[in-house]
Amino acid sequence: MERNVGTVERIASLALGGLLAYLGFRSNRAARAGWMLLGAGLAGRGATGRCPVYRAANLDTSRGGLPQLGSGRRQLEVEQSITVNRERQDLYQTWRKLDDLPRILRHLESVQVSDGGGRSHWIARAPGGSKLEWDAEILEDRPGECIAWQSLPGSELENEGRVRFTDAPPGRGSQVELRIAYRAGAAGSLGPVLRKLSEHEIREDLRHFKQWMEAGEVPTTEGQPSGRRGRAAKAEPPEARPLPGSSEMKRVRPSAGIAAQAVGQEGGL
Amino acid sequence: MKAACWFGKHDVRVESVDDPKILNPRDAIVRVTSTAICGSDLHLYNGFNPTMRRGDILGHEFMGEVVERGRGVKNLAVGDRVVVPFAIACGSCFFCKRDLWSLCDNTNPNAALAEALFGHSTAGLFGYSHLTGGYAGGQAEYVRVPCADVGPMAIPGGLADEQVLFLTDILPTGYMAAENCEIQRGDTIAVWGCGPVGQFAVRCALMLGAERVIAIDRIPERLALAANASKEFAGAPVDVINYEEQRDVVDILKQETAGRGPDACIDAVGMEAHGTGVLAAYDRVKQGVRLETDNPTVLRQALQACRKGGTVSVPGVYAGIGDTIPLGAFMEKGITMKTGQTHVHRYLRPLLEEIANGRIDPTVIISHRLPLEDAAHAYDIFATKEDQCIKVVMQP
Repeated sequence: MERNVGTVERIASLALGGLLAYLGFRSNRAARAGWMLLGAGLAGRGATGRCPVYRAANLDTSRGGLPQLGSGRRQLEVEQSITVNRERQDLYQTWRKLDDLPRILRHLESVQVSDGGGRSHWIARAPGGSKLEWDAEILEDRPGECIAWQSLPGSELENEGRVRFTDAPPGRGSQVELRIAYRAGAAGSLGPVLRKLSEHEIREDLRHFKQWMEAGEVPTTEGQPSGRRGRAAKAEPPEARPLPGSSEMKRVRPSAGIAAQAVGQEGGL
Repeated sequence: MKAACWFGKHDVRVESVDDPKILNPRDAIVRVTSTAICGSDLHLYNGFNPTMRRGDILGHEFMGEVVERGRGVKNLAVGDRVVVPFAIACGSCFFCKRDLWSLCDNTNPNAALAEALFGHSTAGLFGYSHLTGGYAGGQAEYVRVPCADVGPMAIPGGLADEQVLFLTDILPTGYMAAENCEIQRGDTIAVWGCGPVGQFAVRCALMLGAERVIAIDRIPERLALAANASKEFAGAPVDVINYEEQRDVVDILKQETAGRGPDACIDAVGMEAHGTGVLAAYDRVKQGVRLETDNPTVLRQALQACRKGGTVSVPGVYAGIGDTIPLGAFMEKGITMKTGQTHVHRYLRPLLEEIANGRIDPTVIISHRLPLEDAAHAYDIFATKEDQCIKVVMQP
């Protein structure tokens, strides 16, 4: 469960929960268990910052202030960054080739560029095998520095985003900062999309971008042998599912050899 | 092909599995000619790593012949005889560029898992659980080697497999452990654990100019082998402590050094320390009920015994949580601790030269030579130290 309780409220929960548990302990036998349970529950949400009641009601105070609509809300903003040991010009160039991005960003199925590169049609995978499509235009395009975009009206998934490339401290390459805001468009609720485009997914996307840029390939074990094949595999289906991060990696293998070939000069990506 | 697979605690089976194939452009396929069981494989064998899955192919010490290469591998030819470092390194990230190969940013497909546990992910390792990538290992007839344009080193003819096999892990690991001690003239180095890494740590400490080495273990043949290093290195003294016969290791080490303590201490034991006494029993109970993953018996003794301002070097593997570590001794005595998985790539060439010129003979630690089919038996005798087992080399 995501943390969904703000700091002030956590402290209050802890204090009140402790008090209730203590009073419950001292009260008569009939009421004792109830008060102690309630106290423990409050103390628990205070200690962990995770409240199952808020979760059920889709509320969130972790960003301070009054309860806000949580992950069922119609807008989601994701911000992630990563350090890549390459010049920012190289990173920009790879990212700017939008139609190659699906080879790195695994939730994308395809990107078609039109209008001399200013407009593009995006198809993303949504849960359950469905697809989401939208058209986007580039709002800002500063070579080596940033690319900003937004979806056009009528998109199933309205989104706007910006990727910035800055110099890391000396000897550390560049920093990639990605910010994306999604809004439910014609598709209605953002729920299923959110699950797919969670912060974890975006983080993995950025990691794959880094691996591609630095190592020229994304590491994978998919397709390697193991004793799970054949007889052993049948005996243990639940364990055989891939671990986080190990799925769908083969798809993003470069087609043009190692970094120097795959990136930049030859236009491999 | 045949491969030694992990099926659970104390359950290794040689199974028929698919042959590996090239999955990425920088991959190579190596036909394994020799492979060894590492002391750290025993942590998996003993069920201490929760990210092992039934059927995982074991083994990270292996060498062999290149039989296929991806289109990104230009530096190796089919037919080359190579040793392969146990850590997979990309060669181009911040860490690889700084010679910190085992910290590579880009080779663990399960990086998110490692990040959750350690804060950051380190390099992918062969045959060493899904926490370090879940790569199939080399205790097999064939193995896929990722980033083969960076890791494997071709071996010149004239050197036998047995002479160079340990370049893949334990010889560089013993060397790095000794190097981390920054040995100065007059230094006494204490080495906990006389398994394969400890044996090489003793020898490399002598090679790097230690005045004296004190080796600690409880297995007589291992202590004898450590003491023998003295003869191999022109008489520099190697003394041994059998901690089961002479109880208080810290006390003995201080007596042996007239109160100074060893100038540097090497923990070549790690998370499954044996130990004796009340604290050791406490750790066994905590490990048993999974309240503690790592038994820090050796770290405790090393921090307590080490000379003020000295160094504690830790090649022994720790993977989780340990407690009751004397942080006061660590801080107040101004001790430096150096550790990490070995940056094997850094040591391949220099140590190959030391082997070729006869300065060090890695074969002295081999106690058993077995076919790969006997892997289950090999793990068993290595784990129980039966039959005077110190190091097993297997031929597929």
